Amino acid sequence: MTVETGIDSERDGDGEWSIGPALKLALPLFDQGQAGIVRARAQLRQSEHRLEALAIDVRAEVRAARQRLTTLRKMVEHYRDVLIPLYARRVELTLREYNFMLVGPDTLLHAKQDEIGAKRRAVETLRMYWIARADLDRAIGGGFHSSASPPTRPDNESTNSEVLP
Amino acid sequence: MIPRRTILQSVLAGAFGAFMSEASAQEAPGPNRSSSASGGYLLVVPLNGTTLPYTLKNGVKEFHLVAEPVDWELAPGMKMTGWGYNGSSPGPMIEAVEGDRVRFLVTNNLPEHTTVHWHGLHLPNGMDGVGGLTQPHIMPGETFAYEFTLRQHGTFMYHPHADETLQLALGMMGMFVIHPKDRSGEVDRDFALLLHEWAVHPGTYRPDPAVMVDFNIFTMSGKVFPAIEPLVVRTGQRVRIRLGNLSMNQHPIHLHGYSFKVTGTDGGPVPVTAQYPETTVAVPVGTTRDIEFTAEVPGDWAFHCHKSHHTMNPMGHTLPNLVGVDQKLVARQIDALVPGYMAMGGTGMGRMQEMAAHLPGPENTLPMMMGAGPFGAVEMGGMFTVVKVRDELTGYADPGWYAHPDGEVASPI
Repeated sequence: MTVETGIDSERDGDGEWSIGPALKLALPLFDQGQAGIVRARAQLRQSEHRLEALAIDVRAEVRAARQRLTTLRKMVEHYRDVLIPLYARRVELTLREYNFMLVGPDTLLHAKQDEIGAKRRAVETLRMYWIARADLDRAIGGGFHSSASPPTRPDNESTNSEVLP
Repeated sequence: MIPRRTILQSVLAGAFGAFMSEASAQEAPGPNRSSSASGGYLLVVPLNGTTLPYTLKNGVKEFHLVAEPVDWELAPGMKMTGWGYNGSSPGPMIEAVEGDRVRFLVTNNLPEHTTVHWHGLHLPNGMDGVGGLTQPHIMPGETFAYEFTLRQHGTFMYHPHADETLQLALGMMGMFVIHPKDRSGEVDRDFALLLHEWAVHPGTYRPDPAVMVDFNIFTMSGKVFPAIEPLVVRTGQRVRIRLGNLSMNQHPIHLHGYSFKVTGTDGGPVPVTAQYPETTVAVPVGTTRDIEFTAEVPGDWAFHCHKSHHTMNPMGHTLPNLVGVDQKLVARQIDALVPGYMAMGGTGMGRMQEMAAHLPGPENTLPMMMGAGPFGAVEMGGMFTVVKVRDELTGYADPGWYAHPDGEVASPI
């Protein structure tokens, strides 16, 4: 309810001023505070929606982090199980061709260079895997333990010393 | 590598070539043999090959050629998946006599159409076997008959004239020998072989028909040394060697220890007045050459193409030249990177045969140098074999290595 007080003055027709106190009262005949109620309700809804959005964002972030982690894991495993053995096989076959003087040592070295390049990319992919793992851990508030064991280092020549927790 | 003589003409009445097998081939009857079925002519020995049998039908010699895929061994350790006739590449040698009426039933068991062209023969135009030009193509599953009279004698060939580049590259070819009716120019031993080149990339089996220049397998009668049979001759015998070439290169074929004369081509006999002594005969692409000599000196005489890379098996053509390069340091460094690496080529390639025996090579690939002789590695491959001349011989069987008289072998001092 609004109450307004003040002074009011008025000049009559004969030129005499009349001064008196003024009081304005809003009688709740038609305005019963509907606007305020609507505003408050709107603010409530807004807050509820913000909460809902935040929950969705959190879930999306966790889901994306998990997706990134599993994708990187598959990439690490693909390097380890498919690509690096293929590059190593290529070096072996190139050595056989070198043995029969079908290719020169330069071709053999290029094959070895490509194999080493693949291993470097695999190590970089493993690094991105661990960053993604830390991101996921942070997104869920810590204490992340994968049910599956993490991949080993994608260098199958030295798995024993490079197995990750 | 037992030389075989097939005298099937006289024994295989009613049989088609498709049924011919090694089991039915017979050992050579020996020098100066003859066959009534060939009209008493000395039968020609196709190196590593067989002779196509025929059936006599109302005075017509009927042969059956089957064009078909073949798995063919180029030498122990390497096979090719190609096309040929009656199970081999080259196909069986055709042997007949001037004046014969001959009929060829040609069955196509290939996945595409083919024809047979009778290279060098004088015959009716419609029997010439050029697909599209002189006859319709023989479609897969079809059998065509060619029939004509042999009006000449000498050494000729047969091959497809349909998708020719591919069908030749995959091995479809054969020799066609016609004896003279008047029995002129008889010899004591008569050999035939067909020269060919292949591109069978290391690690593969299928000859590559897209290769036009860079061939890596060079064959006599579809074999490379040491799988090519020796030419076994008794001292003093008159010898003819019939050479055909359906490859894409000329081959200068060289005989050690003798000079010879070119007595005929696929164009006919060379007049005696036009024959001059040679030690090497250039066999151009798409021709035949007959050479003759008397084998007066016993021994193991090399017989080979004189393009030296044609007496070698696959070798890379883009290798860096390392001759004279000291590789000791870099070889150690590369070995640390690629275990098993050995430096090669710095002092020449002569040790390659020895090394290839110990180092693994690609699948289905022959080492570039092969062959063990009585004194060590022969370091050959490709178009190389041996004319073995001996004082005492009974047949065509390989007599082994020559026993040199004392003091007649080069030796260190």
